[in-house]
Amino acid sequence: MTEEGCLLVMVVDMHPQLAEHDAHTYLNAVVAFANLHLAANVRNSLGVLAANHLESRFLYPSCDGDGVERQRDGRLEMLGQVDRAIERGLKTMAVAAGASPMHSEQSESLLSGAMGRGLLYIKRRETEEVLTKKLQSRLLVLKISSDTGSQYLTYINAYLTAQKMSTPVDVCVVGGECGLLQQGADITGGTYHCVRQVTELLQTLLLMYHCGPATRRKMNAPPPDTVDYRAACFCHRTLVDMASVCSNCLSVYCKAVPLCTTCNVIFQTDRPLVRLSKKKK
Amino acid sequence: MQEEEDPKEYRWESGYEKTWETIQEDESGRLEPSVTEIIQRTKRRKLLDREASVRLGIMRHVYIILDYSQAMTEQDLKPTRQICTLKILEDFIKEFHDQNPISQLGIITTQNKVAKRNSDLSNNPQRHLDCIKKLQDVPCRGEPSLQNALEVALSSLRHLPPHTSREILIIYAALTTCDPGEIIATLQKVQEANIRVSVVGLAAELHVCKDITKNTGGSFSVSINDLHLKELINEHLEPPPASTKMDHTLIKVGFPHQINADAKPALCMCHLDDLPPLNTRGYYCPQCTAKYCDLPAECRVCGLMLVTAPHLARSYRHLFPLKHFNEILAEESSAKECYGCQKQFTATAADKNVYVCRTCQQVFCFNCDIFLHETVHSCPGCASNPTISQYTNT
Ligand SMILES: [Zn+2]
Ligand SMILES: [Zn+2]
Ligand SMILES: [Zn+2]
Ligand SMILES: [Zn+2]
Ligand SMILES: [Zn+2]
Repeated sequence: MTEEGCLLVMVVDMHPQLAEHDAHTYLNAVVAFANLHLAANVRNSLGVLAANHLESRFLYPSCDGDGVERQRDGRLEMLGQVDRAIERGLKTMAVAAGASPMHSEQSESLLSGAMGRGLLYIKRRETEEVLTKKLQSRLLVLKISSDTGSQYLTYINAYLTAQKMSTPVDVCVVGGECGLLQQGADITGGTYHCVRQVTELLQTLLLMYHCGPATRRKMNAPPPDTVDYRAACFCHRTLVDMASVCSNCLSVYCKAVPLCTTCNVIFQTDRPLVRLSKKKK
Repeated sequence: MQEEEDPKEYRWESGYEKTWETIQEDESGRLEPSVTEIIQRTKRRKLLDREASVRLGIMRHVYIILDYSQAMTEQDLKPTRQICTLKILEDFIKEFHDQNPISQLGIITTQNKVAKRNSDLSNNPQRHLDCIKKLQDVPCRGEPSLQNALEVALSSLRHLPPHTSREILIIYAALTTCDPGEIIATLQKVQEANIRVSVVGLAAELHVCKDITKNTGGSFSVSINDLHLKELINEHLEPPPASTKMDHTLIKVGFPHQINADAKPALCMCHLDDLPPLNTRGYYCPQCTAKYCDLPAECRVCGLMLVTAPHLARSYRHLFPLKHFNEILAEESSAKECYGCQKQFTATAADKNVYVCRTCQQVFCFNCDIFLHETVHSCPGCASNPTISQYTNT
């Protein structure tokens, strides 16, 4: 009882690519983990957001659907509410997504938007409860969709905000690795892990993500992987080892360009570049 | 050069708003809502102001000239001017490197009529913090020399490439300066080198200081107390508008790999002098594979500027600022809760206004509006909109 409560905000990827995996197992893992978190400590609280290629949505606590705020006496009642809220929200999202055709460029969910909203929610809860107790909070991102780098800036902004709020961002990726989210976990001091199969998801969540950062430090977890800190160039969005950077606005270019497309300055290409490249030899 | 300030008006006569006159009791006789509203207004006004500047000198080279004369021993700032200023500078240095990733700082002190370079221009915050620590044990003595200090700064700022923003921040407590020659000549040189000089005074307004700032486009201010001093110094965290004489160029940078497991143990180049234990953790220069334990750094072997992508991204907020939101009355909006934090809008005074993003039309509460503009710098509503999010980030 002496332990303070923890606010867990889950950001769940609901991209249609989920159909390639076992959607049922995936959602079961999400709901089971949410329930476990609430049941583990009376003071724990939860927020759940979902994102697909069209929108991000608050599933729990949900504002539509009545009765959610009213009955809070029994724990089981609350768990039931979580299940129902998640189910209802996901249904609405699935219907909306099914109604509109998917474009090929929308292969990534709008997770950064959902993360931004999650952080604002955490921020409000923290300021509300600052008088009574220090609220421990963290963000857990589950990702299944592919990685395009089109949300680069909003992701980085979200990481830097989380870092300022000292909120760790935990990331669990299903399928392939995601370098961008790995950076986020590394910057904010969260855990990053990649599971190959959806069937491994629940087990991984329970083992690696259930306990707070303090307990995790005592665990003998595998050493963190190499984090890819390369930047994507503004011109082709490819990751580069070495790049040219505009001295005025720090836009990244993979090769020399005569003028900066971001801030419209013309480059004096004669002296400094030559000097630097001579030094190289 | 824009200069709209009335020369007859002194610092202590201006800048005070008569806030007490606008505070009024509400129906229940409380002052609090009125005070909250004033604070809210000021915060929002500050944000609106900031949006105006477009072109920024992001590669900054800043020398801090610190007065270390007798005058710094005064105790009007607690415990002494010296300790108080050093404490503020410590935070400033950390925050400066956070917000200006590829900029450099240097520290010069002046006492006993001479100036001394305590820390060379570098982008390694630890070196400056060590310097500040050492300075805590150095006693403040004698008279300062503004001219000597400016000459020292000038000698190293003058040779920087033309695309950098050159700045000097003077923190001055004395009311005199003891110079070997004509200071006007030095000022001329400073001006020619296109250096922006700003002065934060601890005691009173000095004519010569005010002149320097006026001629170089810098800012001049005198602090009232410790909190005010902190605020004045921290104003220099934001990059200044770039001067028109500045050239622009492409700088070569490297994004080092961080290798843990399969690399061979090596010495890091940044701590060569104090012989650290060999280890594998660190960042490796992509051009010459020299190892560094912390970034940003300038490669000592090949001269490449080494940064990580998030370092650069910290500056993008200056570049792609979040447009300010429209303020509308709560009853004019159909939204029942804040799009960000899910706070329900009630009929109380705090929720009288709501804030609408001009791009995605989502509605936010006041706290989220401030937080988004001060800290996050991107709108989660826009990021959650497939058409806008594709468009704004490419
Ligand atoms: Zn490119
Ligand atoms: Zn540019
Ligand atoms: Zn190198
Ligand atoms: Zn809000
Ligand atoms: Zn927006």
